[in-house]
Amino acid sequence: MTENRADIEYSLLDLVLLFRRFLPFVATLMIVAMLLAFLSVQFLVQPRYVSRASLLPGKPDAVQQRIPILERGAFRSAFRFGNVTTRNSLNLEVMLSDRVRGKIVEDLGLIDFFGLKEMRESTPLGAYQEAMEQLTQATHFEISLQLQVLIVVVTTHDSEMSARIANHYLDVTEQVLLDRLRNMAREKSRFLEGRIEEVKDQIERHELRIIEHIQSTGVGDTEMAMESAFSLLSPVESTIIDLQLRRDILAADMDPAHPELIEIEAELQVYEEFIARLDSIGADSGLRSPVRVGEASRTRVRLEHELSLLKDLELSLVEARETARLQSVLDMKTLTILDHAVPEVEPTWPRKRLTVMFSGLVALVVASALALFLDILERLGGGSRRDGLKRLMRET
Amino acid sequence: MPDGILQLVLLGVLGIGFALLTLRHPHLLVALSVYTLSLDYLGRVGGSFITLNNLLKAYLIVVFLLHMAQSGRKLIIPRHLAWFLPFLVFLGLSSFYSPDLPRAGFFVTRITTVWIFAVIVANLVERTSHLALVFGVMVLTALTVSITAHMQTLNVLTMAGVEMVQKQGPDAGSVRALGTFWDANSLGGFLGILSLYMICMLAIPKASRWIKVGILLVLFVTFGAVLLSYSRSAWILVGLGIAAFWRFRPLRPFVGLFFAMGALGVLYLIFMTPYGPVLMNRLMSVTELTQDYSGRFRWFLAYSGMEIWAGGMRWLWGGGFYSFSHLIWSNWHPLATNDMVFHSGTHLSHTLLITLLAEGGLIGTGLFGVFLFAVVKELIRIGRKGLAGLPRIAFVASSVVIFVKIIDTFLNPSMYDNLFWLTLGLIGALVRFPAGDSDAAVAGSPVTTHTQSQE
Repeated sequence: MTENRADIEYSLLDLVLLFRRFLPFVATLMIVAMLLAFLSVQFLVQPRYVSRASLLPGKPDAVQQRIPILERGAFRSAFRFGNVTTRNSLNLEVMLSDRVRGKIVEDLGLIDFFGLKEMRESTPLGAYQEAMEQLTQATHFEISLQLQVLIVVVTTHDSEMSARIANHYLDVTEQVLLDRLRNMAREKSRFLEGRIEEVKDQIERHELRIIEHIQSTGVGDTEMAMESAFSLLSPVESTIIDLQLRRDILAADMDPAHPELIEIEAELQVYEEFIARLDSIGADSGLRSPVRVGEASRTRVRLEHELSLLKDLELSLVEARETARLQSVLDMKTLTILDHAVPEVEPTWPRKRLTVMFSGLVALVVASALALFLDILERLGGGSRRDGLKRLMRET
Repeated sequence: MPDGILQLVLLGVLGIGFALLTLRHPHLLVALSVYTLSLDYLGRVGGSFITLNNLLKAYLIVVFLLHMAQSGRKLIIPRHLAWFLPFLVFLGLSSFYSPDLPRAGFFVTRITTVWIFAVIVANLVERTSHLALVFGVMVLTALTVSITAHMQTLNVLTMAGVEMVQKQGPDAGSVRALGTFWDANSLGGFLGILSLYMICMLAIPKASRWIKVGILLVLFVTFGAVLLSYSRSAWILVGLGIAAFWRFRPLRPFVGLFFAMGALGVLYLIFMTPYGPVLMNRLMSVTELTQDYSGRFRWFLAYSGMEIWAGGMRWLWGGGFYSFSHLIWSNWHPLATNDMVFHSGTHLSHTLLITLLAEGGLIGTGLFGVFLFAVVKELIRIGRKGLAGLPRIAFVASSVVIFVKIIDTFLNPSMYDNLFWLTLGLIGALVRFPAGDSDAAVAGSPVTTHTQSQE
């Protein structure tokens, strides 16, 4: 039972003696570990060079979300809010695509660089796939804490090549994004071309309608100008026509219960009631009605307004088409590159001094832990480790 | 004298005074360590990995060695902690075939330090009053950290506005309280364990009614902070812990009370505060762990960990300590998305068990299993001994903490959780406490020797 168990006790002297007893073992293990580590990092481990290139997200000003960042003061300013702008996820997805990796493999001759020359002669596709895989293994991506900066990290055994691959990731990604934009611009341009033709047809049809209207009603430009000039209520009627046009345009896209439509209807009603009341007062008192703009003129104004809208639309479509055409041929910057990769002079791996130092430290921990455990077993077993182990198992 | 310099001088004087005091009463450092454990983020010196807690541990080791030299105190190695040594040896050896030896070496040093810390805790907690002090600091720490968490939540609400709070998805990313921790899950786990200790304190026979009411109030604040950390594993941990207290008769009435309190707290938050939608999302996401991003990410990490384990001879001795982050690049589950690949949590699998299998193979996992088995056996032995009073309370709390931490190994990857190692140290101390309700120091300790010589 527990009460019968002896404590595993060490005085300071015991610990010193234990250390002295196992000193040759500990020292040997440390020296061997450090020596092996040194020989490995010096002669066996092929040096690796890391290169880093970094870029900012596409629209750094567009705030997507606000996240709290922990501050030091627990009460006064526990949090500060940081803006998370457009993420680099699109760039990351593009960089990881087979298209980008394949292009890098082809452009930089990575099949040869990764030592797959022989494989290429027997199975070219296999060598290509293997080179793509090795490129994936050689590449890491890091995204800064707030998902802003995307860092391309490439590690190979060649300093120059690490930097070239990292920079080529940016170049190829930029090219792929540019191709995508240009394709989109070409598609847009083609679409706009068709749309402009349609609008031109509509304009022609509208102009014909206006001519037909003038011919059928006999209300030409002179008659319309005289009617407007002599009509006392011309400003009011012109406002009514404007409001009616606005209502008709909005009603095509909006719900009838939309507040803007309701507001226009209410305004119209006020003006129409005003005119109707004037007419009724005139009729009651036997006075002559003020000269009014005729129905034909009002229809003419409406038709001309619609024509002007169609012409504006045509103009904006033409402008958009020209922009799209420009986009499809211009060289645009699709990435905001923060840092280009530069070849490292010193290898980043193996970290020689650190590796040797930690080898010694780990060997010290291993040897000390082992020495302590063996000593515990000897103490419990009265000198026999086997008995000690049995006792430790029994008493645990 | 300017205020800043005056404060510095006062702090310096207090610090030196406390340091001198701890030379005579080193158990104070154990109690203080509970508080410094909570300063995960705020206690960093110059933003580096040197934390106040690490400095305290280093000081604790020095003080203990001085005590050994000065008073002839002996270092006692508890049996369950001795069983960690073979695993430590294996971790060290496996570092040599790990792809990143310096990194693995750093973590070997770290785990060695927490082991030494646990051994020293087992040596220094020798009296019931020492246990009481540790428990007292636990209550104070839980209170300060929880208040910080509540303040942060209010800060978020006032600074970000109700709309942003309600727009949060199931990950609740921007509104999670962090307390004094870098990570909300660490806060949840830390307060979760402290709340389990505090629940046990309610059964202290000699505690006055006012003390119990005080503990209940602190518990209420702490539960709130655990809830606001939105840490699902902490919720599960606390829930399991409370359920486990059903086996302990004096705490049985509290089990129902706490579950009711938890349910009421959740209902209050859902219906009376702007946190309703986000809390509801988070609660519901527990049932969708295979579907939401976080859940799928965990499964893919686990699958990938199994892939690593299955490669070559890794099934036997693993890929080397801290090799997971390197090996996962060539072992990603085919369905894992790029987002998952570049998620910050890929340095370990999300479960300790699979991380151990991948990095240590059957040998490493087996040795760690032996250590955990030894801990459980030690608890069973202590249970049979018939402790009473505060040591009995400490035993019940430690048992429940170990129980939930063993389950937590399936949910979280870390074996460096300081409260877990503090608990292991307390278990080592409880082994030496005498049976029955006694305030006496443990047999053979310098405290006993000193008292006897005075008599």
